[in-house]
Amino acid sequence: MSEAVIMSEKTKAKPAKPKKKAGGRPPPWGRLINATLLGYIASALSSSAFTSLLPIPRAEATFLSLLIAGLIYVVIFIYVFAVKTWQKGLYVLLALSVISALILSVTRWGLI
Amino acid sequence: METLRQSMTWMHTWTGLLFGWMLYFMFLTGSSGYYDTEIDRWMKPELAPAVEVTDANQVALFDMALARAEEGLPEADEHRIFLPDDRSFSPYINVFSTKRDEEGKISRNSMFLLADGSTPPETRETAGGQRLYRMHWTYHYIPRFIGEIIAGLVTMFMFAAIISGIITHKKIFKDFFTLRLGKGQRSWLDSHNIVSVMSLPFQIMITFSGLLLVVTTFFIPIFVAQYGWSSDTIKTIESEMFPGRAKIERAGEPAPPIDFAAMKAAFEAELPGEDISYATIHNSGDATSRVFMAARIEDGVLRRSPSVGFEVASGDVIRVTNRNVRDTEDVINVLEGLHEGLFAGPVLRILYFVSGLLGAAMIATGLVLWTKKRRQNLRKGEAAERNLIVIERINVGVIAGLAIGIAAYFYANRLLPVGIAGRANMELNVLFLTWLAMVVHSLARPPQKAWIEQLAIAAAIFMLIPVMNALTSSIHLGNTLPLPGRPGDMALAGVDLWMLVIGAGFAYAARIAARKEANTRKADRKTGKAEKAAPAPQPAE
Repeated sequence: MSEAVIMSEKTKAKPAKPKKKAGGRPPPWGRLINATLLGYIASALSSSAFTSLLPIPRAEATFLSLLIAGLIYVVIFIYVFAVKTWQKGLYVLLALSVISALILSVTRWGLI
Repeated sequence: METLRQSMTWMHTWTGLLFGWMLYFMFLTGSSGYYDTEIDRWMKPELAPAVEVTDANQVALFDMALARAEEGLPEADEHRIFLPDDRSFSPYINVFSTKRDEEGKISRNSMFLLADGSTPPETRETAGGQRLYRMHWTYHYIPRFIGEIIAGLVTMFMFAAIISGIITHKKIFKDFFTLRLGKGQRSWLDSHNIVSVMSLPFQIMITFSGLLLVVTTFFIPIFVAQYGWSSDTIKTIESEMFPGRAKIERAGEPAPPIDFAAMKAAFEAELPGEDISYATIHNSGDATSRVFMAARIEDGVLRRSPSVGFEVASGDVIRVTNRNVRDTEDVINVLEGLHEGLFAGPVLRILYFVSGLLGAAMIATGLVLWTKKRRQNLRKGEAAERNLIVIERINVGVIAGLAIGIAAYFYANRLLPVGIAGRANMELNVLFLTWLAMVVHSLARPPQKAWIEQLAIAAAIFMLIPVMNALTSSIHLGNTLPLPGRPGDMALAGVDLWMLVIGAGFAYAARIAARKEANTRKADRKTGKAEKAAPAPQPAE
């Protein structure tokens, strides 16, 4: 390939990027619902399950759950949006809720 | 594959947009809460001078107030007697009594008292600073319980938006020092970054602590998870979590009169350096009666008042609670104390208020940025989607219109007839109707023109509040500003001064918007001329 051709290729302007669609990506309804509803249940159950395992009185455990539930909820929010598909988020949150409920059935509810 | 930053940008954009208007309302009305007491006083210009509490008359005031409380609601479960202090919501003695009958029905009685036991002169009925700031989580028109659930949810979205905003920012420190004016979308992004980063620690604190303030309502499932669900659940929770609040059944036998003087001495011995601010009397007159004397909440960031509990029959001290952080409940109390800022002095209070306004500005710039970005992404000649046009217009009505509504609330306080029934609610209706009118106006006008008009209205209406105050009351700047030889009243003067500052801020914003509109028109004219001057393309031969 001649030098002139290489030069002309180098100096050739880059093709203009296609403009993004004005609306951008659609609202993530599936993830929002996941994070809001299932995230709420999962954060309440998992914070309670975690504190129920600690050797502290139940009243103290309840206060601690109230304190950390919001933080867990935020982590869940971020996770649900960061995960590749919303379905994956759904399964993980369901699993977290079920495991937490199982722990609580032993430690608090006396069901198992 | 999508990176974490891209996911977070997506999340930040959508959570911010979906709840932005509501968060803006919460931040703006919530910020007013840092001056709720001052606004209360401003809105009641007829208030008589405050009851003076001294070491000498404290016991007599408690005796008198308890006698009046017993007359108001005999055999109450609880009387609470608050003595006034610097930032009490009333300058009088406040008495609240409650009684729950066997069917669970609760009777309440409350009254304000002067030092001689008489009731103070009537003031105008007003929603005041209290209901203005309470709106930021109760939303006025909906039941409180639902309001708290919504507030919890919206706060969660805010929290998520803040965290995702931090992750999104590659150069958070550099962004703080970057402001490129007159560059359209870039300028809005810079403004959004600056106001966000400047108040970031405050925003994180206020959001997380705000969530904790409604956490007992918002996270009810936690109580169910910990205590199960049965008919006794609420009783068990009360007795385990709030042992002081559990109801003690009356014995039906009389108790000796309460000796406030002895209790005051014991309080001062147990908690040296603390002043008594209020007393709670359980089962007054009964052998089971207990008294809790407490210090001011405002003195420390921990919202818990140090208190001493007494058994009336024996006179024994039964409980001493000091300000030391003891357990998780106190961690929650500290965060809630930080949120409310009751402990803040005048300078810190200004910082709280300004940070609150920066929070509102952060949301407002974010909302505008969303629309600017989408406008910029339109291809040449491509028409904007209807959703974008509507959001663009509503943004004006929500952002500038709410400020105008709040100003109208202050006018309503002075201009509505004093004796009309339901006056307090009418004041709030004026706020919301004005806001609605501004949203309608913004929908009817081109956005750029609507911005200029509403910002100009906001500037004028805020700057005229001190004038209107001077025309309708005696607590105007001419009487309240401290001058040599006159102490004045900075609490009242401060409200008028803030109105002038806020008005000046809106005037500046209106000027910028008007200049931008003029530049756009000039540029359009130039483009038009250039197109006319250009030779028509020659047809190819």
